Amino acid sequence: MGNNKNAAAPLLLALWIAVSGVAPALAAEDHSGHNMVSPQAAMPADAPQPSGGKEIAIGSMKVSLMPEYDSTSVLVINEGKFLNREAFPREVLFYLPQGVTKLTDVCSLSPGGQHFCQLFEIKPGDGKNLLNVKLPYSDFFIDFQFAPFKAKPNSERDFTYTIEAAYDIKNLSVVIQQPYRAERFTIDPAGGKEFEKEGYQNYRYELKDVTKGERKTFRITYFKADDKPSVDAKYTAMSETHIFRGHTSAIILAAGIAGIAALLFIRRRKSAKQGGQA
Amino acid sequence: MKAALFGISLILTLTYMSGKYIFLTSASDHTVPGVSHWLACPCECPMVLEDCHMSCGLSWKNLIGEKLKAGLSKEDIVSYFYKRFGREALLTPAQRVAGKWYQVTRGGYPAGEMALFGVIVLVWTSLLYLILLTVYEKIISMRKK
Repeated sequence: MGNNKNAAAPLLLALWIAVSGVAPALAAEDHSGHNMVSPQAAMPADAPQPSGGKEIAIGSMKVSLMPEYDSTSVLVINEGKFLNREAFPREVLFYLPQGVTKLTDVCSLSPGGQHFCQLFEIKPGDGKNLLNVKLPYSDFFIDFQFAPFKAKPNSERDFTYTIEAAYDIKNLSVVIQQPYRAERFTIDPAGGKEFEKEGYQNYRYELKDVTKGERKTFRITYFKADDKPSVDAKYTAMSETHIFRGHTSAIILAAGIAGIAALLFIRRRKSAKQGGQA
Repeated sequence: MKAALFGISLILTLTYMSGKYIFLTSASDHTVPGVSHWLACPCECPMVLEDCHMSCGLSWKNLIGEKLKAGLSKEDIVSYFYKRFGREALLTPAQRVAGKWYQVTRGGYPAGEMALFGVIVLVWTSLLYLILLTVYEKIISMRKK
């Protein structure tokens, strides 16, 4: 067993390298060919050069709020375009709701429509979280899951989402999707333009000249008899990818431990037998 | 020799576990994750569609859900995407490896499951090492006789 102990050290080191911080550093290199880059590692060759700390503004931005779309939380998608194309690449700031510490993606779109997904940093702020990201182009695409309520069957969902502008926004469009099977769906403020898209009822709010620091709050309430997301309830939730499904991990682990125990038992018995014979 | 045996065990276990996860899926062919495992993310990202949650990826997943509801099989749906979107909708083995690696490096899996994956690799490496060691010792003792 002493040898096993010694042998475990390189394994732990290898696992640490594979799973921990060394991996992202390698990732930038690995993915430069796939447009998944660290801001420092691989800006696209045709990206414009930075132009210092000049004041910038967002020309158009669309915020999509999709409660219980593919999971029991709210899918939030922010996409838009800065007015100052010449100011990029540069670091920009976005405000996220408190509690959002992980993004699904933050990407910049090249003029050709390619996504250049970026590494990012989220810091806690006063009543909100701050997302710092270096964008190679003026277009951006950010999506994340926000969990302001716990979805339970036969319950009222009631949450507020505040959009706080970190920059002036010329045209802000907010689209709120009504989840499937939601009853008594209300939005405060009311008055969103209703439209149907891909079988979903949506409400659009068009806001002009939102100034830096201005907050736009939307309160959404509805009742739902189930706790399943809109995307067909027969299918598993897709908001998070899992390595293992069901009890497979426990079974694999238990089988491995049982195997080790059995082998150690056999080896010990054998060596005791050999010792007895000697 | 013991270190070499352990190294072999580690490589074999890691290769098998990673390969199994990258190339196979435990999700049923009749589910969205089961079908999206075989398609590329349409958002110009290197990801496998099952890991992609951007709006473009979600609309493809929605489409898969609708096709499944309409009674199409996994093969029918993959063929539909190929015919409609071309070769880009499918994944080469290299793209699949790159996509999964990206998913790991971006922290796309729950930390608990990553830790569990590490523990499982550790346990099965130890088991394989013990088996190889037992076989090795047996061969040595047979040679001595």
